[in-house]
Order: sequence, then C-alpha cells, then structure tokens
Amino acid sequence: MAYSDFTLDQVRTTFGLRVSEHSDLFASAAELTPSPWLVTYLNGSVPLARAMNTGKARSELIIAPVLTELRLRFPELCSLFSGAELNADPERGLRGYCDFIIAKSAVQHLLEAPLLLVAGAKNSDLATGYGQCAAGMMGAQYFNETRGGLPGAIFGAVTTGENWAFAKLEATSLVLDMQAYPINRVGKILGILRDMIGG
Amino acid sequence: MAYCDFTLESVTTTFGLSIGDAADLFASVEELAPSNWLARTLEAAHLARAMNTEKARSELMIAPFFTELWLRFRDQCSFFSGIDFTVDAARGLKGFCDFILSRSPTPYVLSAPVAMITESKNSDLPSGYGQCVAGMIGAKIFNEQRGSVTPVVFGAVSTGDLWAFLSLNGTSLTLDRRLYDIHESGKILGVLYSMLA
Repeated sequence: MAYSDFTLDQVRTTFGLRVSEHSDLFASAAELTPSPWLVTYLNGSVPLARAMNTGKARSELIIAPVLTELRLRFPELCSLFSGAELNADPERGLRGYCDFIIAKSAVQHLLEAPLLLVAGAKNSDLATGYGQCAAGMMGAQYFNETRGGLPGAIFGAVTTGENWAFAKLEATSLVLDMQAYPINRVGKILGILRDMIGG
Repeated sequence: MAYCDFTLESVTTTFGLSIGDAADLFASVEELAPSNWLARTLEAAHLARAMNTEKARSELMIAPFFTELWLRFRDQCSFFSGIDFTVDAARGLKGFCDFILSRSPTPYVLSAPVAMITESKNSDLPSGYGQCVAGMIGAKIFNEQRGSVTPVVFGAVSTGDLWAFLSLNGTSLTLDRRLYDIHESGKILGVLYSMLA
C-alpha cells in the first residue's frame, strides 16, 4: 500500500476522516499577478502540453513552472519538492512518492516540517486524484506531527495543469473545495498558493 | 523487454551496431544564444540540484531546452515528453521515451523523430546510453516504416547538469567524447537545433 493506491473512500475509512465540501474555500484569496517569465512560459507551454497529453508533459510544462514561480517569488517562505519520497508512516500505507510538495521552510535540500501542500498531477480526470492527494496530505500531517512542526492545516491540490482543485485538512476534517481553477486564472491560483504559505 | 532494459552492450549486440567515438562530434555547430526566457528559467536549475530527483531535473533543467526550441522555431519542430513509442515490441523497441525531438511542427501526433533524449538515472550519465540508443533504433525504424529515410538519428543523455550526444548513421553508432555542461546552454541549444537541419 502506498499513496497512489488509496481511493478517497479508503482514506476516509482508514484514517477516520470527516469529509465535507465548501462552495468556495478560497474566495478571499487575492490574485497575485504572474511574472512576465511565467506568462511567457505558459503562453507557449499550455497548448503544447495539451497536444502531447501526457502526465509528464503536464508536470513539466504547466505545474512545475507555476510552483517554481512561487518558490522564486517567496524563497524565504517556502521550498519546493518534485518527485520526493515521503515515507511518513509506511505501516499505514503513508509512503511513496509525491508529485509535488511545498514546505514552509527556506531549506531546499531536504524536506523539513511543516509541510504545507501536497499536489498530485493527473493526466485528465481530477476526480480520480483525490484519494492519492488526501493520502499524501495525511502523510504530510503525520510527518509534521512527528517532526515537531506546528500542528496546522495541510493543503492539497489535484491538478491536470490546465485545471486546479484544492482541499484542506485540519485534524481529522477534510474539506474539498467545490471550485476548480483553470490555468488561465493563474493569478488566482498563485494568490491561493501565496495565502497557503503566508506570503 | 523495453527501451529502458537495454544496456549499451546489449543494444549494440542485439542490433549489430558498430560503435565508435568522436573527440568533438559537434565542433562545427555554432552556439545559439538562449532567449531571456530560457536564461531566466535556467536560473532556477539550482532548485532541481537541491531537490536532486530525476523528476525535478527533467522539469527544471531538461524540458526547458525543448520548450525554448518550440517557442522559437515552432514551424520547424515539435517535441514529445513521456509518450509511448512502440515500434517493434518483439525486439524490445517499446516503452516510454523521456523526450523525442521531431522535425514536424505538429505536437499532436509524432512524426519524423530526429533525436531521442534520455534522462539518466541517479545522475549517472553512462547508465542512460543503452536506453537512448535503443530509442534511436526505434526512431530509425519508425521513419523507415513511413518511407522517410533519415540518414542520421541523434541521441542525447542528460543528467540536467551534463549532456552527452550520440549519432547513429546506418548501423554505425558514434558517441561524443565531449560533454556539455548546462552553463554552455547556448552550445547545447545550438547542437539540438542543428539536429533539425
């Protein structure tokens, strides 16, 4: 058992989570204007990733650039990890690789608590990504608890690159945001990410 | 058996390749100055170095070179990242390829592959040669099956920090002894661009 094996229902029953939905979880997040670099990047890369239609291309051409922008703009507030292994609690299946993790730490060479965001890349269907993402969020929560990080909310993102959906985990309460943000609203997506890291 | 299972030894034996090397295969290729966009993108390469995962190196150090080519020369090329490239399953020419550079401008369907690029595992450059050469043979056969004989198919193995190039002319495989560092981005870009000619 690893993160990628979990369905949302399995995460809920295995870890006793209460799952609810919110109509607009990040309504108050102000937009953050993307840099000219990111605008140039996405103008070319979004249609290209769509044409290739592989998960690898979506990660390389859309998701990684957006998250890299966050780290480049707020290097003191967050670090970014791509393809990192997070073996938080292997016995309960909280192990494996996470597509992307953002930690509230300036240290870029190793994962350091508190972890804030676990993002999962999907090639097409967002809905099938929630299980893996929620399991990753549980792993991050456990990591923070055992590493003495301050207990706080853990965020999750499920994304195809073209579409982003968010979730929030506090203790045993998992809230799924009913909004989904298309990449042409990258300013709003960046604003949400900035709020998460406290920027 | 798939591309990733080949070693340099097994691929040369299986497909009867002769293997040689060159001191500086692309000595005559001119640099192509990186755009401001690529220069800015590669400033983030240190993040991938710190993360030290193959995925991060691919995202932040390797893919940007192909994106740059496409942004600047999209009427001459396209590239493909992570597609299934099955050419001759019985002979092991199947599986996913890290990057394929194509002389065709359409990124929707692969045609006219000219270069196969392999991300090396664990920053161990030579470990990527077998997979890369197998992909190059796949590309050669793929082109022949479609009646477009490409005299030379190119290859590259990259750790992100280092690039090594190869060429396959018929059954003659040449490894370039000269390696390129990511700081020579203009030269790397020039070499990749020259493959489209």
